Amino acid sequence: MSADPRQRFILLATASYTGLALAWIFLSDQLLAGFADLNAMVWLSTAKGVFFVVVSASAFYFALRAVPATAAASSGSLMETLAAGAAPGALPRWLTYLFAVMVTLSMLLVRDSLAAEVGDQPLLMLFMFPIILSALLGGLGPGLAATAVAALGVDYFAIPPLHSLRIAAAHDLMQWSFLLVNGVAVSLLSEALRQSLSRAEMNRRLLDVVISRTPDAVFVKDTLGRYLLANDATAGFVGRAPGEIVGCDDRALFPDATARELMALDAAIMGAGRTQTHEEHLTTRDGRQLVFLATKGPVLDGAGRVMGLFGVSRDITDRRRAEDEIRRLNAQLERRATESGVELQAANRELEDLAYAVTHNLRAPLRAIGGFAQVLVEDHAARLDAAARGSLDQIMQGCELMGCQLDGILTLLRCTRGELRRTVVDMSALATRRLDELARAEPKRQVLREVAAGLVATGDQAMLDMVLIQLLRNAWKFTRDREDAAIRVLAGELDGRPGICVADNGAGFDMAHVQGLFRPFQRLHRQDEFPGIGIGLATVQRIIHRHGGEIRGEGRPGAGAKFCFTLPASVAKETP
Amino acid sequence: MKARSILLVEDNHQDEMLILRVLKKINLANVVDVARDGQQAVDYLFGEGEFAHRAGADLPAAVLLDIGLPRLSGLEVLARVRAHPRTRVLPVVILTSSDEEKDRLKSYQSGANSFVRKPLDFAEFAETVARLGVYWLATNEPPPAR
Repeated sequence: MSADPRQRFILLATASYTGLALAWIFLSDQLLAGFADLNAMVWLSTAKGVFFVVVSASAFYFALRAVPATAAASSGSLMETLAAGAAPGALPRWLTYLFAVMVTLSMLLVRDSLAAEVGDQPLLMLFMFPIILSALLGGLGPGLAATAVAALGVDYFAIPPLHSLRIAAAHDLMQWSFLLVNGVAVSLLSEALRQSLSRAEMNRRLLDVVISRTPDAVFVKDTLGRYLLANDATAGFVGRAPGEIVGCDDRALFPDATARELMALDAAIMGAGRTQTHEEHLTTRDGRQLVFLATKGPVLDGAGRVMGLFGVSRDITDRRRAEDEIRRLNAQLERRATESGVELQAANRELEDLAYAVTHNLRAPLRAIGGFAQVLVEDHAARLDAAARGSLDQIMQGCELMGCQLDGILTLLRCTRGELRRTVVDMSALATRRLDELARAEPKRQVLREVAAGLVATGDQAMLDMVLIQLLRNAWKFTRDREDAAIRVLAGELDGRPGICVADNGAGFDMAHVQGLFRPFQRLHRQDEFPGIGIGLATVQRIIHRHGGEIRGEGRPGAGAKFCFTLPASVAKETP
Repeated sequence: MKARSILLVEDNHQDEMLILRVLKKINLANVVDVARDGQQAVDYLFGEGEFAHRAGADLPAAVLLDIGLPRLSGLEVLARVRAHPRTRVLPVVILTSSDEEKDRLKSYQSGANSFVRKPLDFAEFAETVARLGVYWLATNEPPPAR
């Protein structure tokens, strides 16, 4: 729609030209008719023609320069077009100076031809025309140039004494000075005008670039909701040309429901008088559902009254859709994770149940193997040679070891079965009792036993008892070879949290093997050094983990081992 | 007076053989009757089905009852025994390889007189069985037989 102002301008320029040219012809011919002398008439006619050509040529120049400039503007008035055409830099400087000099000189010619008829008056007023024209076209420089040429020319050719720069009469000097002052003033004013026009034009272009190039909808509405301005993006969203939007309100652009919502919202914002940002869910006339992040605020006049509303709306439909998609996928992922977590737990539970059942069921056949081996030994010993009895011994030993392992696995598996009944457990008392039991079972051994008083933990009493049983049994076992065996149960620390430690000065272990310490059936000592099945520490760790705690062991070969564990909500303290 | 018997309810044939062997060694095997599943045990006690000929016969001095049994589980047998007026006070000893706490609790709640775990080690097993036999047949005075 940029052709509209262009068309209007061309029409207006042509019409003005036609009118002015016709008026000039009539008026100048009327003027000429007043002259009696034929020679003077011919002269004047020529001068008039030259002047007319110069003026119309310069008018053409403006017009032709101006028209393409308007094409770039989305809306433009005649004044803007003129300003665009007359903007600095629109013409080469030398051309404006040349124009200034030429138009002034032609005016000198006109005055000269008129002079004879009007009685040698200087006719200084005539020269304001070329000065104003030059100043408007070229600004200060050409204006001053025209002023200088006019002043000097008039002084030399028209002010007595003629053909001299001197001015004899006082009133001539005064008139001449006025011309000079006027010329300078007009040049200065024109320059100021041109500069402010140029600044305005620059601002307008910058704003125009921003508004027309942004993908956001930018618009201004009046208090009744009619669009005063709408950029290309706005037009794109509603599927109209920008020119069609101006003057319409939302009812012409959106389906009724959406339009009502928008207009109510706009009215509320204008009522509140505050700029605000919100999300708008719009349905376009072609049925698209769009989501906008809209910033809208009131447009105020000089007195602070609301005279409209501006808006900048960003289409966040895709972003919103992507966000929704992300949210949906996240939820799905979470659900699947939970599901698979539950499935995993169930699968784990099933596996453990199976392990438990298998282990349990293996006990009966094992008892049969061991039992009937025993029957052979008891009832048929006479018919067996030494080698056969040796083999039966191995069978029974194997049965015994396997029985221990089965019991160990059942104990381990039981740690994660059943309910965890948390109570406050007196760990000092439990440890003392278990150590005393060990001492009673092997009264020959001399072991220094120290249990710190006041060790308390929160957890399942039976399970925590199992922890102490296993740790103390190990300590007892691995201090077997020491004369000065000592076993201590004391308050300790693990990663800055209070815990309980069981320490001994027994065989210890190499920290290089610490990885395998808590794995079922992993042993750090040979069977013939210290017998065992390697299930105790695995059981202990399972219990501690089930309570949400941590356990760590440290040791040095020959220098003893120390196991420390924490239990959440446990209070391990020593009372004096 | 005819010696009172013991009813052994055991589905594992090897366990049965080992138990009988132990009881034989202490001369008690000849007073042990064996039922191999829960239904047989109930029929034996109430003189029904294949044990119809036992209708009105003396009750055993005690029942050694496994828990994991075919057809009727040990706990179901126990429930029936306790539900019937004739057998309400019959001594029942649960002899099982189960070491589940809930089985033990359930047994006592259902009215078991004793709960004994079968030791894995045969020597211990033999000793336990012998002690049970001696206690329930010789030491303990059972309630009236009818």
